[in-house]
Amino acid sequence: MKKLLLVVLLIISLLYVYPIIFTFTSSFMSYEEIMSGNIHIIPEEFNLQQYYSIITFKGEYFHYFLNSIKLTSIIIFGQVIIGIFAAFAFAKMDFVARNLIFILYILAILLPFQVTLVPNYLVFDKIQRLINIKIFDTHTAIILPGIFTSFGVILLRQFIRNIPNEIIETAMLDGASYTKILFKIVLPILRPAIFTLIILTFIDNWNLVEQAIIFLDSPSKLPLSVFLENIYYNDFKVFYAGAVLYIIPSLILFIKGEKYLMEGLNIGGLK
Amino acid sequence: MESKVLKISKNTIITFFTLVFILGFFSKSVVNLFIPKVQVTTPVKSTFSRTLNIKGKIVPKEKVKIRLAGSVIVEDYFVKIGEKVEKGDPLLKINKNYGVKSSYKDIDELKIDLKKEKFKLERLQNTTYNIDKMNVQLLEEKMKNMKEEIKKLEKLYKAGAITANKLHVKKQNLKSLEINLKKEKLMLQEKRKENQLEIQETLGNIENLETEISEAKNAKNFYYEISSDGICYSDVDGIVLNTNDTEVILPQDTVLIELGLVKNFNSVKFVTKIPEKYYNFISDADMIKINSQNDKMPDQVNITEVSKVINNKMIKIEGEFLNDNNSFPIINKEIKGIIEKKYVGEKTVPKIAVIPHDKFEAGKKGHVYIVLEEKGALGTEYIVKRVNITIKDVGDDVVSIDGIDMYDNPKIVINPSFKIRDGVKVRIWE
Repeated sequence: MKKLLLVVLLIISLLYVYPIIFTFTSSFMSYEEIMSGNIHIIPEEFNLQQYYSIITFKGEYFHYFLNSIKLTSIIIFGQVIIGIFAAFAFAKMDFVARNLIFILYILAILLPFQVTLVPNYLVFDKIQRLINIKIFDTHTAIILPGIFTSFGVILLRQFIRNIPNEIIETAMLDGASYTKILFKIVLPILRPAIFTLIILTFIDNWNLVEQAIIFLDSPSKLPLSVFLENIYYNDFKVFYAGAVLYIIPSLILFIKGEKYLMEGLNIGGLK
Repeated sequence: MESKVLKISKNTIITFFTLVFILGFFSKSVVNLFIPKVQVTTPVKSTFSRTLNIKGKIVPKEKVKIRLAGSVIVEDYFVKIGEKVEKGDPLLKINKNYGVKSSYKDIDELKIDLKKEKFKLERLQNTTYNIDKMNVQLLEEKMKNMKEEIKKLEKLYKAGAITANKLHVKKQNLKSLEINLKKEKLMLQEKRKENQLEIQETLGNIENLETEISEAKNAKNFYYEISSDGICYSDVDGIVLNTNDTEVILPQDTVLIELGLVKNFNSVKFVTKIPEKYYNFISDADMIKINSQNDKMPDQVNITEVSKVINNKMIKIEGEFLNDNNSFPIINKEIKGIIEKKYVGEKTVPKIAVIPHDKFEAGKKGHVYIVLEEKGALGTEYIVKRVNITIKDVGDDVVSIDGIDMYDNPKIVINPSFKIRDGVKVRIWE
């Protein structure tokens, strides 16, 4: 029975993994082999032509790759910074309408981001008209809503709430300020949660599509997640190599941060 | 063991992708390092020219060769090669002791002989042989009478009036008369034959004499005359082209001095020789441009004659100078010139784009490399394709080609190297 279950699970896992393996092995096939129509996983001839083309003639790929890196890293950095401060405030500080504001935060996370795209668009349009700052067709239009999401705040608040109040009160009795408490006591404990937030935010933003389509007009500003489709239709010869390279950052980040991700999700009680 | 293999595989994959990312982020530098750079051009319709550098010399159109009517020994030449001479200038002096040993007779003597022969002919033609004819007639008359007399005697003999002996004597006389007549006739015939032979001989003599007189007259025109002091003077204005040796016996017909009848550029021509392979190029060319530092020299030569030099694999070109400004040409001096031919090509490319580079000839096959574009979302790949072409016309720097009509504005590689082959990816060097 156990063996049967193992086989079933293996088959199901293979169904999940097959597209990734197929993409990876296809990236080492020649264009002729891909276009031959025979669907096979192992290349007849190990060929680096796709990677060679991307490195040499299709160097534009790395421009879009950098666009994605830029957007993702800025959003992660902003979300972590804002999340730490806001979460600490919601978790350990008393101020007027704290719970009400937090409920609004929770309500925001309940809304799918596609719903918030239209209000975001209208707000940016208003700002552009009022203070004459160009937001549309710039990465700012994606970065700003990305930074100020409530997910990070809620995730970190859950972590900070698990820190015993006694530790913080003792520190305050010793004369430590909130800032000192945050940086000296809370942050070291919060490290797994921050890594969790980084990984989740990275995966979320590395694959962003809708925001880029709505806010960006210039093809050169598009992130790789959006441009992959264009590569598929117009540069199929290098598509598989491009797709593999696209997966690599997420994969590395997941492999390296898997431990923190599991730990963080467990502690946060989100699992 | 298994974990070691896994570790090596993991490291290999990580290294590979790290390299891809590193190289990819420096894409342009990588391209510069590894991909052959090509310069390209698009074939254009253009007018181009082909020039052929030549070296030639100026030679006189007309020459005068100074010969003497016999073998001579020249003591001294009074002129040097390249020197201008005028009519009446002394040219040379012969050794008077040796004289002019001529093979030609005096024309006056020949004329007298001719006259004599003509008289002789007249005399022969007027010979009638009347006496001989009269002798024959007399003999014939006499025979006739004698025959009649014999007839009468025979009648008398039959009547018995005369004797047989008398008749027999008469018949004997008649026979001897017949023999005499035959003899006279033969003699007359022989005399006439002899006369005819003599007439023919005389006619032959007259013809020979007339030929000799004509030759002597020609020789008189052909050969220069020597004055009584042994000096030969020029009859023409010109320039000395050649002189012969002194103090040696120079046989009759030897050219002692060669003079060119040169006054200006109209009296000379430009002569050059070029290899035979340029025959097609030259055949319809009409002008030579002269490269000369001399401002007075005409700068153009009109080609008048193109001829092959047999067994020499060369072509001889002759031409006349245009725009003569009455300056005096320098004979036999080497002059450089250019023969230029214009072409109009529908598709012309630089010569360097066509392979093989060494022999450019109209009609020859070759190939060029064109760059095909493969546009994609991430950029354009350039792939080289070899295309066979035929050379139509050849210019100095460009050639007109056929065989690329199926490509619309093809980019043709103008710096082909060993790296450029069919199917090779290249980068276009702007």
